[in-house]
Amino acid sequence: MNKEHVGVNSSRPQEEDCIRPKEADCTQSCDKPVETDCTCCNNDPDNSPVEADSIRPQTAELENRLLRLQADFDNFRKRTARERLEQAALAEAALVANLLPVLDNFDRALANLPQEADTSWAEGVQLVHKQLLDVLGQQGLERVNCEQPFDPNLHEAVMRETCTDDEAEGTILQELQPGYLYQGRLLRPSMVKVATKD
Amino acid sequence: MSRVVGIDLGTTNSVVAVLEGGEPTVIANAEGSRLTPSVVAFAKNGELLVGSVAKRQAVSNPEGTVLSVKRHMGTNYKANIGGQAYTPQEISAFILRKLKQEAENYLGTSVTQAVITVPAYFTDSQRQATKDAGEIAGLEVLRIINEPTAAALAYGVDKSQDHTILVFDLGGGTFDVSILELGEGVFEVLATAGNNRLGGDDFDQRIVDYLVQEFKKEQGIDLSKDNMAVQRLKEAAEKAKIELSGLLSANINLPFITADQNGPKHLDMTLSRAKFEELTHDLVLS
Repeated sequence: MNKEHVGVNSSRPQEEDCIRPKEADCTQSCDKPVETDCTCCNNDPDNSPVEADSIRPQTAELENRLLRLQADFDNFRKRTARERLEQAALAEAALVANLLPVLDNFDRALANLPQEADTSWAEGVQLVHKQLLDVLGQQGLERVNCEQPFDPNLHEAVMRETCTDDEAEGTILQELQPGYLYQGRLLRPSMVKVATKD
Repeated sequence: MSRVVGIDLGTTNSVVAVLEGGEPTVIANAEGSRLTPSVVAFAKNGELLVGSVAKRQAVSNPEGTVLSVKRHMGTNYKANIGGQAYTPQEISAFILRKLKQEAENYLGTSVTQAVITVPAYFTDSQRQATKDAGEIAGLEVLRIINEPTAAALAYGVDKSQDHTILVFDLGGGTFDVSILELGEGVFEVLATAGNNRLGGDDFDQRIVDYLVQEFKKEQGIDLSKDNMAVQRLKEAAEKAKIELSGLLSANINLPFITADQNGPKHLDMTLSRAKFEELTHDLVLS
């Protein structure tokens, strides 16, 4: 069957306009006269039954492919719509993730405040740090709590230390680098030292 | 309508993809990553962990964690974790099952069939073990394909012509070079070589060593003695390596990397691509 692409302005009927005919009647919705070649229907009235039989499996295969492609497309369309909504959130999370090392270094700078630093300047810098945390906090940034037992869903063990006490097993001994959640999802796990029994 | 997925069951990381309208799409997992670490663990409380979450507790639970199980496929190795002995196929099946679930979540339909790739040098028993792993995971493994062949196909090599192809695969844990011959639509592996203990991490380490060496020269401090500094150096090294794929030089900026009696010290260095290639030259030649 000739699957020709029909343009919008064409006077020929689109494939979808043609009601799939049963064997006999091809003139259901075509406005083409019977004598002319109606390529939107499967049947040319002059076709012998033998010819029709030979192309039926091909048609079935093509129909099958069309249905599958249609289903694929439907799924793709639904998923793309969902992804578009998630995209904005993902882009934000990516930006915040890139800012985390800067935040880490800012923390380090403040942790290394020299004794003789001009106190009002140092205070100013601390306020800037607070402002940064506030802005990110309002967007949904949250520091991971390390005052709880080690949880690989939130923490990453980079070091371990043997503890003799059974109860201390799994305790976080030190937070080497803070972890963060962003809008409820883990953005970066905390880097911690964990107490283990061995 | 159930779908067929393609799975790269790697030594360090695994990937699952699906064909949509003839184009492959790599499926991201629940954490948003297109790579799933090939790590399986049983936590101290008996919980099964697979992927990133397993990797994060590997250091604190080494007896309960299995890394690089691919190296044991086709052997009688048993992993004794979670109070039970598991074969490499069973461990791999945990990974495959996770990938299957991720694919089903993404597609919204069931996934029961897969094509899995293996290294070109895998023996029959290694290939059978991979197939078994798939079956244990609930997947009908339609084909086991050689990794370099899959790469050549994905690249789009014209199967109607004859070609000789070299595939260079430098991965997370292994380095594989394969020579393939494509003739009359059939791929044949002519030769394989490489180093199955060489991966991306080794390249990062060369950068770390260089940074430590330079810092010692300039500041007289050995950063390798400071665990936190080493962590930061490793991350920065990997990031610089990635940047050097597209740029001729990368800046490595690590303020407050350490401190001594004179106060805090900073590391701010530039690494050129030429220098990086010089540092890693022998790795590629090996």
